[in-house]
Amino acid sequence: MKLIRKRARQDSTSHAEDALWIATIRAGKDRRQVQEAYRNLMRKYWEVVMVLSASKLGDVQEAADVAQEAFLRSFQSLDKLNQPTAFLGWLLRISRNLTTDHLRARKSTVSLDALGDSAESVVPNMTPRFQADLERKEELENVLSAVNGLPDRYREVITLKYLKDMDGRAMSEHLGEPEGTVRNRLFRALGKLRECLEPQPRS
Amino acid sequence: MNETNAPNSMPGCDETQKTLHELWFDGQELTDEGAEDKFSAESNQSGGTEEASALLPPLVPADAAFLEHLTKCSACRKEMTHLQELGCSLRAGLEVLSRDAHAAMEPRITATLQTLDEAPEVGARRRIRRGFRLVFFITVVALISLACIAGCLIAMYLYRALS
Repeated sequence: MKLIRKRARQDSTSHAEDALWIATIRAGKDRRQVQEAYRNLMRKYWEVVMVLSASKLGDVQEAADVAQEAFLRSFQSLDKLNQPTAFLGWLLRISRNLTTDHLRARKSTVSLDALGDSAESVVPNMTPRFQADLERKEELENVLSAVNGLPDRYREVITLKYLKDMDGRAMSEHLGEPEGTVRNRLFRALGKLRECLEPQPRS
Repeated sequence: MNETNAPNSMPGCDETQKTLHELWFDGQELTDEGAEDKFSAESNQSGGTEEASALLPPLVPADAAFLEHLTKCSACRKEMTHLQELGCSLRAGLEVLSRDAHAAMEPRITATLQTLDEAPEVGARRRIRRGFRLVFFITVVALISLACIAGCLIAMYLYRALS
């Protein structure tokens, strides 16, 4: 066995550049500069925000709406952000609240009959290429269903770890939380996932 | 060799569990490459590919001890394999969602920026709010200073009157 240490893609996810972009937006001198800075922020975090809401809502279009709304709101209240280096944690909080609002609104409008199998709705509008591979689809559905069953904060660390390849330190910097807390959360999240994914022993 | 059954805990040796998960959390993954040299510490010293080893920091003694332990402990090897499989499944699962996210990204970002552009009052409001905040802060400081000066003056007058 060979040891390959994957270098976390910290260059692309450095929190210092967030602070720089946020300072540019807050200064608000040149409209083009502000737009460019916010475009960079959106490009950097769009994936995380949308994946998290898609895994919760089970609908890509709705998740895109939530992500767009979250970015709009975060721009409008950027002055309230105390710690610019922890922009991601703040943005995720906004998106978490919006996702909850969407779910609540959906529950109040959709009848019980319309609600299908929850596990099936977890994988949103899979592309035909994936539909062809039924076995793989089932496996992915199981994984995403398990991720969907986790509490929001657990899903966040799992997504940051496996989608953005962030290590404990990077996560703690981006979320503005102590490293130990983040590591512990990831450990617990993995434990819960394993519990969900491992086949249940026959009683 | 203790296998814990408590919820949220993972099986494996207590003494190496920490190292295993720390390596994992720090984005350092152990990957199988060939059955022959499985779990040999020597091969780790040279790293994986040349490119990878050029980028990587040297192995610390704790890693070497841990890798040596892996050659002996089947529970830890099993645990490591479990973590790898789980990681692969998670990456693949999230990749599906990420693909959809990427497809929607650029048009949505453009739409968001257009919305912000069409609402220039947001920037104006922010500037006004900042101005108000500054004025409010200066007023508060001035009032506190005035109160302090007035208090000192009153104290002086009282002292003079009493003496």
